[in-house]
Amino acid sequence: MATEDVWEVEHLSEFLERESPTEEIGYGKCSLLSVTWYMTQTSPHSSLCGSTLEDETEIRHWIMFYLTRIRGVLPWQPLPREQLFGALKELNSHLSKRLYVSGSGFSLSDILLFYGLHKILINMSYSEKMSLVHICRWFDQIQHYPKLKPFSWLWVSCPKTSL
Amino acid sequence: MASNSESVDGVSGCYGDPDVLKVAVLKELNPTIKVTFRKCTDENSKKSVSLLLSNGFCVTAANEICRYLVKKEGGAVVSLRDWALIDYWLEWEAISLKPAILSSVINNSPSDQLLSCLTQLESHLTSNQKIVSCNEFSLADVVVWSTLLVIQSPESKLSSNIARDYPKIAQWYRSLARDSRFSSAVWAASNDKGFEGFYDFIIPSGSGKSKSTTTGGKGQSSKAEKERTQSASGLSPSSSTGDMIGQADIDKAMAHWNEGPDAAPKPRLHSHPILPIPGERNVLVTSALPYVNNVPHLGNIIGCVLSGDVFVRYARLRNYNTLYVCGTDEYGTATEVKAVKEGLTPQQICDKYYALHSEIYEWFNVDFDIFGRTSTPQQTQIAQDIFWHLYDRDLIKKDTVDQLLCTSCDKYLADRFVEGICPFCAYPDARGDQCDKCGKLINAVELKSPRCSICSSTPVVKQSNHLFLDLEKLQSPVFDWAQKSISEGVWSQNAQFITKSWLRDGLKPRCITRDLKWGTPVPLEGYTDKVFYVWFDAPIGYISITACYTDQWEKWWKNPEQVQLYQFMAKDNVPFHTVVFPSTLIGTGVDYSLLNHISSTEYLNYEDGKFSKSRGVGVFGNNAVETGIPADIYRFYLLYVRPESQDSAFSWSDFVMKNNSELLNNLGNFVNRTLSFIKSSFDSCIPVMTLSHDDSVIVVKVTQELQGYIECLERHKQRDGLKHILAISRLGNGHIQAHKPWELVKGDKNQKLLAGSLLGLCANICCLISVLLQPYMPSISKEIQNQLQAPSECNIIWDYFVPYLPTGHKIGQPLPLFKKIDDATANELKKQFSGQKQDTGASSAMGESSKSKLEAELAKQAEVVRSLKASGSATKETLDAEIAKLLELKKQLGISGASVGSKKKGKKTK
Repeated sequence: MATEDVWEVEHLSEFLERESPTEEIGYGKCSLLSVTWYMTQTSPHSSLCGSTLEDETEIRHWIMFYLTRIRGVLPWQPLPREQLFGALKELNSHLSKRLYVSGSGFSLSDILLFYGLHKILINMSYSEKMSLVHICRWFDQIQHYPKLKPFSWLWVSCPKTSL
Repeated sequence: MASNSESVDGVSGCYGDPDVLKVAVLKELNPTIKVTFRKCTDENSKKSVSLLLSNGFCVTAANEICRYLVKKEGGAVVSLRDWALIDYWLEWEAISLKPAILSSVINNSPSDQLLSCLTQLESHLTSNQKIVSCNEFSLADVVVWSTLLVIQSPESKLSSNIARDYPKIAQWYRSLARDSRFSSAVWAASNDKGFEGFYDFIIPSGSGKSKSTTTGGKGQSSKAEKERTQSASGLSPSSSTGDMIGQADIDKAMAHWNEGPDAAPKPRLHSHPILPIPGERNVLVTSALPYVNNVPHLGNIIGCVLSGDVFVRYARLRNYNTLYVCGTDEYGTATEVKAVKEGLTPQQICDKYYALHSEIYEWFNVDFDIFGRTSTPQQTQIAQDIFWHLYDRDLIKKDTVDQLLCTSCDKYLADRFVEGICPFCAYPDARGDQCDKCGKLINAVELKSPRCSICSSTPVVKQSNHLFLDLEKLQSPVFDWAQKSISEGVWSQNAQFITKSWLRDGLKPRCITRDLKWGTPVPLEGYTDKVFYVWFDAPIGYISITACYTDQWEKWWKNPEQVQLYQFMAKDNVPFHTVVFPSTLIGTGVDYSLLNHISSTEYLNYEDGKFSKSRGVGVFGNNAVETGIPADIYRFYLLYVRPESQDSAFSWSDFVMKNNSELLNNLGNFVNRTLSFIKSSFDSCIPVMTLSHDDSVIVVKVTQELQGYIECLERHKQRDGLKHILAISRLGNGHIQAHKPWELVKGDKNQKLLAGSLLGLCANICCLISVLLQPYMPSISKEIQNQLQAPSECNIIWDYFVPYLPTGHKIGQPLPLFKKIDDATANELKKQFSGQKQDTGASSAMGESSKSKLEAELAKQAEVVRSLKASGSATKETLDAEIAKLLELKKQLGISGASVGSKKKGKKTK
């Protein structure tokens, strides 16, 4: 299992107030979506998976977007910069019309994208962030959510903008 | 991306797109699905498959589209668990299989990633008929089958690979291909072209059927193709394990390394009394007060004082302003009883056992700032002050309680000193708080035919006046506080759960006084012959012990803005710390520092059972000293098996194994070989360090483990923190193994330089390890630093890994840090603590006959006592003498004269 997955699953377990599902479903490589989806559905916060089938599908769409277009095939082999930025631009444009990633409100897609984008945003220059101003606005909002972050969180400074 | 031609809930896609094939199969199974096919021949019109939802969103993730269509239809019920399995394979297909297939097809040769996927699938299909067996097949089967189709095409060289090397996959594939619905879908989705249609879709048009160049998807290929083979980077020939770390990671870590330790904070020196400093991170740590009367066993120790110690040492290394408060909990019935038994006063008993506790914790290297006692004038003063505040705010209720009074012993009997017939299950030896047989909680007054467990006479029910803390009135503010504390602080899962249950069940008034002599006296007129009940009184001990430490204690305890209170305990103590004590403090109206963070452990068992002093099972604090194994090794093992999310067990064989493998072979080996090498080949001086690429990758990985360690310790995941340290040491060992410095030093100048850099790096890793290890094994940490001659500035835990040992620094004498424990010793120790009484002595000679003889005598003596009491004619002295005889007989038989001493420290019934 990629080390990053463990981090995300452990943090999510705490946020969802449930145990990490080590035996319930196989913890294999590339199973971040299925593991976290199952965990969230069997937790007190199952509404994070959407309440209608449409919402559910949209939430999962964005998680898959993150996994295939931003994180890359193997989590530890970064995508070529051009491709990554192309995906980020798409996400940015999507977030220009949205408060949260999914139209149904705060969901698992916000959480996983938030965890995943931290590494990318923390290394970005100010001007790069200015070109992704809606991602930054969204990220800053989630960043202030209590309980989502580990204790030693490195805050990402985001240029101020309005929706 | 939505175009006018798309209809809601309708899928649109291109002919020949394998993703569209997935949908086509689904359409064969469920004709109501709407699909619109497009002809797409040039690159720019090859858009991905899409589905327009009724809420306006257009889904382009193919598998999600399929999932939606299947779920929308309803049909056969699939369990949540099965969906999780299906989801796993859908994710696997999208992230691993599909990109691998695309790039393999373009290059006409199977990539490593493809082979690895196929191997995984083959193995899965060896024990499963279908990928996920729901009904005939599942969505997972459909999706994977559709993607695999293209490499089954005769055009592709890869089809023979499949048939030859992956028979199970071939078999599964054929079984579905024979299904007419699947084959119809293939024609429909390819515009009747079959395999060729799909193949053409993948290979960029105009570039010929088989590309011979090695790198696909890079360089001059079109944008559209790039988008389709977006993860072709998985194919890059330069990928090796070294490239797993990104360049950004390396640059960042090396920037800090090169800046060196000057940028790091300097360790702060503390002098007593430690007081909060405004603006700093002020950390007040308490460990549950061990009950004075019980000799602590290893389970007690890991549950509280040791866990607290690890955190405190860590906090000091982070330069937090830290105070560690603990002490013995001395008041209560058990001490009174023991005093009578041993013929001493309660104060003398406490003095004796306090010294025992103190010694034991000192041996275990627990670094309290104060280890005090609850039987002090400060306790009385502070407890009474708190009481008066509660009284003045109308939170004290007066009520009567039915209690059992043993007239012959002249004592009000605490629940556990009463035995009788259980009112629920008629078990004849139920005790007054809980029936051992059916487990139901009972009040002593409910027992049928109750008897005093000391003298067996029947107690009388008396009404006694007592004071109650009206928690009902405090329900709302306590609830609000708990919510806030849980959301802002670090609370262990079991603590959250227990607290929420208590609050949900609603708070009831709790009795806070008892009819005893040894305790904090109640100051209210009419109740002055009573003392405060231990669970009201004992947590106040944290405050009074601080008051014994410094008269400026209010700066810690009445300062919630500046102070963060961390409390460590085992889970049975939780409600008293998360509900009762905060209620008490909130009720006073004074701004006390309340609990912010709590770490509560589950239970540590011993081998296959539980610790038991009376049966001699398990290692107790005073035993550990005698085993000859150093305290740090015990600390290491206990923290390694710390029962964080579930019960765990102390096992001698495991203890020995961990010592020999993790400590000796991993950690000890790494430090020793590094230092020995530097001594022998570099004259005990740290060599010149020009770090190679591989070295810098190690720096990054060590940094990642370091940051993980910090994260763990902040969240009280002490077991995991320890694993990070061992991982760092493993990285070091692996690095040495991989580069073989013993060969490099025999080589040319460059190779010697490489060896030197490597060893210099490893020495600095040893230094880091010594610091991270300090909370866990303080003596070993000191020893490592001594062998390194490390500067004292290194004793700081910072977020980055920097070298404290520069080139030219002279190290000390390398010595082995750990000793191997052999199996013989392990077996001996296991036997010693297993409770089987060792050979000789009257106790073992006690055969069955002498036991039954004693039992007969006991019965006789009990009868003597009973009749004396009944007749009323005996003097008190005579009666006392006969009772003493009875107690002695009970003792010989190993029956407790009073059911004293629950294993869990500090716990009282009710």
